[in-house]
Amino acid sequence: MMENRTSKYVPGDVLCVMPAMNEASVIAGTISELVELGFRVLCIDDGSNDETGTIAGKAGAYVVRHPVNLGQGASLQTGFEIALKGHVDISFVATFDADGQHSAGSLLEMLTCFDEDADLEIVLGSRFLKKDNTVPFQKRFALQFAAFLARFTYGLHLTDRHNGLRLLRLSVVEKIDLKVLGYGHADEFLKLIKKHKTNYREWPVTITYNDYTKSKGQPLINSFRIVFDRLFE
Amino acid sequence: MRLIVVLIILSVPLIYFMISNFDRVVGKVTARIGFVIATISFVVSALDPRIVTRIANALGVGRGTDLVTYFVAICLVGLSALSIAKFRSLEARNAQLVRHVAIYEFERNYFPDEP
Repeated sequence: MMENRTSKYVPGDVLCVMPAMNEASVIAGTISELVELGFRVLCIDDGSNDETGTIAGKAGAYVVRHPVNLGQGASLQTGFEIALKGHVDISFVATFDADGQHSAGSLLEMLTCFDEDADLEIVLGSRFLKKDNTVPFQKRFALQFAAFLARFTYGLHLTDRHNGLRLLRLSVVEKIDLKVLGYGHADEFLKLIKKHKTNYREWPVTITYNDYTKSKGQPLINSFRIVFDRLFE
Repeated sequence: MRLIVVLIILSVPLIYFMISNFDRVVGKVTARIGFVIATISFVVSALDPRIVTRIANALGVGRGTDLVTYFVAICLVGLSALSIAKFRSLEARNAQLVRHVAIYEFERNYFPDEP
């Protein structure tokens, strides 16, 4: 779908913020795929015990290292703050998982959305907009139920509430201050959309489910923890 | 509705108020007042259990022991909530510190000449 779309924006306009912890076995492949298409990559090595940071640097990413593990939300915030420093000339910031579940091709397609709508500020990836998705049943049920609840909590009609692949204009990144350090940060993007009436859309993306990405993914039981943690925000 | 039920229900917003304002003066004062009240109550209940029974009867609770149980349970929930909120605050400060160090190192490695 839309594989041949081209955008007036180039991948070099995008900084991919990629939190990573102990991803040494896969991170080179994930980064290489992005770098080959021309995207810039900022890997946040979140207190890894292995060579994740070194490998990411060799694969062509900028690497920033948290001396201790903070969590995915905290890593993204570090990436956003660096993006706003202006060291790298960019117009967009993407959030991209390090475990290889996201596709660089999907990100390239998402970039074209900004051609069609000059007011668009955020593009959220959705695994459920692709009819041939391979989302496991339990995960599909939980995620679609969570997306349904977003209608009531945020007034947003989403199909995928917890997709880690997002593309944001730099002007939106200025408004972000992720407080949730761990995986519960996804809802903070929705809060931002609601609070600032940010112009958003969803775009179908492919998520790769293999043994590795499943092992790195969040178990369903963690959704309880995320909900509980929100009580203390 | 029994008075004790009303008091237990009212304790929920009180705990919420305490954890949402724990790092402000009003929250800190409320927590300390709660601590003093709890301490005095426990000392009084130990010295003269009949007082607790009388208060329990006035609140619609049959036994003083039950009243103490309710009170301890509310204190425990409040204390747990307050501890979680405080821990979160410390985590956030730690994250800010770590981030500051990480960004400083990043800029020193990649952009040493930029101000």
